[in-house]
Formats: sequence, structure tokens, C-alpha cells
Amino acid sequence: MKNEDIGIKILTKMLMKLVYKIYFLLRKTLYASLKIANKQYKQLRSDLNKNFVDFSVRLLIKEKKDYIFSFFIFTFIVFIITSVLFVSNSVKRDLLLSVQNDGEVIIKNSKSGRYTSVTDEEMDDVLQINGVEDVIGMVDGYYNFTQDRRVFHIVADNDLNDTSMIISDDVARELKSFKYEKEFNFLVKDKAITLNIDKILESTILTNNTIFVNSDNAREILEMDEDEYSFLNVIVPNKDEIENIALKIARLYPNLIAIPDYELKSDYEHLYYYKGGIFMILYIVSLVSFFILLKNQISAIYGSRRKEIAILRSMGFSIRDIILVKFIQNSLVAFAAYFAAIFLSYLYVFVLDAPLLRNIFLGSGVEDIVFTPVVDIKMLFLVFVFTVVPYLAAILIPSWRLAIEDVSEAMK
Amino acid sequence: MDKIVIENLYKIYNEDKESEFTALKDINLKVASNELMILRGVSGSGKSTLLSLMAAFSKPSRGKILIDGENISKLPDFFASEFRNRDIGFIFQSFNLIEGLSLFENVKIPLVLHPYSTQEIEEKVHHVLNLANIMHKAEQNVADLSGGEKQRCAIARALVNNPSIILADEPTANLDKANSLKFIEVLEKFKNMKKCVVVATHDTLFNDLSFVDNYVNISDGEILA
Repeated sequence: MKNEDIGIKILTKMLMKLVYKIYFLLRKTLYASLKIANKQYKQLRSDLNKNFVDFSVRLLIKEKKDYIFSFFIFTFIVFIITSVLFVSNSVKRDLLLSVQNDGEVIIKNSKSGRYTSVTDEEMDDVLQINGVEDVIGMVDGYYNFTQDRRVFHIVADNDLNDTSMIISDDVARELKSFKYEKEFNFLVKDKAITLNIDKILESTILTNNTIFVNSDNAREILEMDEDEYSFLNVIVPNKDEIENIALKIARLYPNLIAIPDYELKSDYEHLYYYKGGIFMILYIVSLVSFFILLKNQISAIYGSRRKEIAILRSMGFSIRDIILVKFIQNSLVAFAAYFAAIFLSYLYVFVLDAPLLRNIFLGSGVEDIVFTPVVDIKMLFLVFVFTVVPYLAAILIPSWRLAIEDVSEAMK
Repeated sequence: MDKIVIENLYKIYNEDKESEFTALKDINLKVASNELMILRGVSGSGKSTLLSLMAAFSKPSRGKILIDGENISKLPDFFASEFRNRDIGFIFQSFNLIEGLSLFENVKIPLVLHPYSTQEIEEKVHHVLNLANIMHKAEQNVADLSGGEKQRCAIARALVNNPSIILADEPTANLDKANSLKFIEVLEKFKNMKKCVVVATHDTLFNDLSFVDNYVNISDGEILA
């Protein structure tokens, strides 16, 4: 058996189930609408069969150059869209997860329009507000690694002892390039704090430049006093009270900035809005490609395939049969391209960590970041609706228009 | 028994428009079940239009076409297609083969609408390829065939569903004399197969053939007495 025949058989099997279901629905509608009690024509042509699907696929293979072009353009479009969505969803998910671990209200202090530390006194006052269950002081900030003009995010973690630290893979690589392989010296006023590298974490969006240290060490590195915190996490059990409590805090201390968690979440949801221009370009590229694809397919239908449709009609193919042939051919291409594109973009984003696209999202300073795999089925369904459905419609509508033409006219 | 009965048939293009054109006027015609009829007329006389109406390729403006007593002129598409597939074998002037497919694949097209097994399809196709004497080219792409071979492929395709009616529109227009004479031999085969055959032609080679049952002349869309 030829390879081509084996290919046809495999493709046929895959499509048969789907095509049968759609066909039965079409046939049911057709039978209902054409109740002609004519004995001679009562015996309708038997069900859609393997030969029909085989033949449709054979015609597709005959026009393989056209269809391969469509396949690649379609794959490219879906690849771009899904890659962008995979990256943004992954980043958003990580950021939103970080908010989930925080309190319902985040309190920061400001002086002269800049953030400063929050004190024990302010913490105690907030704790007195009705509806506040607890207030947790957090210590974090940024350490300037002057050798390489990089900034590390220092986060306090009380589970660590005062001689060790945990760093991200990204930080580890950075330190290693300056021969800091087992320990690192934080240079602070008049001294150096030496901490051993206890563990190296995989770099994610949240941890790519992060160093976890004991809270005393964190305070020393960040030059904060013992009664100072970077921000406060306020625990509010009643969600309806969050806004009120934020208002009360603002009245109590006008310098304190109380941010409800939903505002932070909303900020993260719209994190990449400011980069809309870049995404717009990507979407425009996709859209233009999509129109090229449709134009190519529609021209082919109105051109060389017009006569083919007329020939098939003259052999006894009904309008429905022609639409079915086109549906089988183009849904094969569209489905194959759609799933290939999703598979490729998954590999590109979650295995290869989205080279090029990563820089657009996170800036060029970030290397070796790991995107947490997030597959949003609803999002993939939307991509399907906005790509496969218009593609099929753009093919089937002109096919139908040609199929309803007078056969003898179309032959000329 | 009459296989085809045509009553008061009109075909008018662009009706009620300035460019209105009457291709067929009040055609009345009967063709018996195993009759071989030659429809003669110059180009533009309306013979191809008449054939396309008989094949249900298009609908007449007025009048009836009865096949075995059933009016096919107003059939909905699904049933008209069914009729074409089951009862009509059409041989076109320009053959109308699908290039890129092999001769075998072209001939089997009318069969793909039926749930035949692969073996049944092969048997039917091989049978008509032998009848048309083109079996040796079965796997060849039709684009690579000569005019005569394409004609034989078209004949095989017209016969593959064993239709009761064969319609041929200017079948020798694209053939040299030798191949045209071969086609005339095939016509005699159709006659022996008890098919109802209507050939539209202006080729003089078809004049005075002994096995032809009826010559009908058509001019300006009207049948001449």
C-alpha cells in the first residue's frame, strides 16, 4: 500500500466520527424540509460513507500546495495568539497567586510622595480597627548589586537562620559570574554581611531576582530599624468590610496608603495593557495573515475549483455534498493547524520559555525564567471561535454560492 | 415505452430583462428507452441547452421533462442530484475530467456517493475501463492523456453507474477523425447495451448512421419538422 493511501486512511478515520455527527444533523434537517412523498425518490442516497470522505481527502491531497500554505499560515496565526496568551496568563497567574498570599489590605507608608517604612505604632493602631483580625509586618526591599548594576529583591523569611539564604536560579547565575558560588557578602554601611547559599530556587516571574534571608538580616541589609516594616498585610475576614477598613486607615493616617487586594488583582489583570502597542502589532500581523489566508482560499474556490465543483455537481453531487466536501477538507486543515499551533506554542512558552516574547513581556534583563504552565480552556476555545469558525465560514459560503450556480453555466 | 418525454419546453435567459434571450421555444420530443437519437444543429441552435435540461443541470423556464413518467424539471436540488447520479451518464465536449487525479479516480467519482466496498468500486471501474478500452492507462494522471484517451475516460465515467440515459454534447468536437470514428463505434455499443442515448452534434460524421434510430434537427431553439 502506498504511503499516500495510508495517510488517507488515517485522516479518514479521524474525521469520520465528527463528520458523521454533523452529517446526521444536516440530513435530519434536510429530510424534515423536503417531505416529498414520491415513491421513486423516497429511496434517498444512503448515508455518508467512507468513499465520500476518502474522495474529499484525495481532492485535498491533489491541491496540497494550496492547503499546505493555508496550514502554515493558520498555524502561524494561532501560534502567535496562543503564545502571547500563554505567557500573559502564566505571568498573571503567578502575580495573582502572590496577592492571594497577602492580606486583604496592603498598607504602605509614604513621605513626600515616596514609599517609606511602616512602624510598630501604626501597626498597633491598625490592629485596633474593628473588623481587622490581624496585621502582619513584612520586610522586603531592594539591594543594589553594584558590581553588575543589578537590583536584588530581598524578602524576609523567618524560617531561615541568620547565616543562610535562598536565592533564585537567575540570581545564582549572576553571583556565580562574580565567583560567589557558596556565599555572598552584602555590603552595608561600614561592614559586610556574609550569608551562605542554602538553596537555589527555579526562577519564576516572582522569584527571578529574589533573595530570601532571615528578617534580622533583611533589616540589616535594607537598613531598617527593628520596629520598621516595608508594608503591612491586614487580615480582614469579612470581604464586605475591606473597602471601609481601607478608608478608616486612610483617615487615621493620611500618609498611609491602604490598597485593597482587589485593586492589586485588577492592576495585575491589566498588567500588560501599557504594552498594548506591541500586542496590537502582533494581533495586526495575525489579522493580516488571516486575511491573506482567506483571500488565498476564496480565490482558489472562485478560480480553479469553480469548474471542479461544477464537474462534481454534474456527476450527481448535491449542494449539500459539495459543502460537505469543502467542510471535510478545510476542517481537516483548520483543526490540524489549530492543534499543531497550540502544541507548538505550549512547547515554545513552557518548555523553551518563550525566547523573544519573554523580552517583550519581562524586559531584556530577565534570563532563564520559567513560565508556570497555565492552559486556560476558555481562552483556547475563544481562539478556536475567532480563527477556525471564520475560516470555515469564509470557505463554505463561497463554496455554497458556487454550488447553487447553474451547472451548465459553471461548466463554460 | 418512452424514456424521455419533453412537453412545451422553454428556456429563456434573463427573462423580463433587456437582454432576454430565448434559447429553446416550445420543444416537444419523445425518446424511447433503447433509442439512439442524434440532435443536429449548428452552434447556438440550442441543442446543448436541451441536453443540459434533460440532465437536470438547469431548470426550464416553462414546460415539462418527464423521465419514466416523473417530472424532473422542478425537482429540488437534492433529488435532481440523485437523479443525475443514478440515471444520467453525460459525456462533455471538453471531457470535464478533474486534472491531478488518475483516470481510475476520475471514473469512480459517481460511485463515491454510494457505500460500495473498495472491491465493488474496483470491479465497476475496471469493467467500464475495459468497455472503453482504456484499462491500460488506469493509474495515469488524466492531464497526461491524449484527447482520444480523455474521451474514453469520459465515456467510462458516464457508464460507471450503469445509467439508463447517456447524453453526449458535441462528443467529437475535440477529437481527430480517427478518434471520432472510434466514438461512433462506441455509440453502437451503447445501442447494443439498450441505453437511451441522445447525442447533440453538428459533426457530419454522424449523418446517415445505420444504427441511429432518429435524427432530430434543431435551429434557433426550435425543432424542425
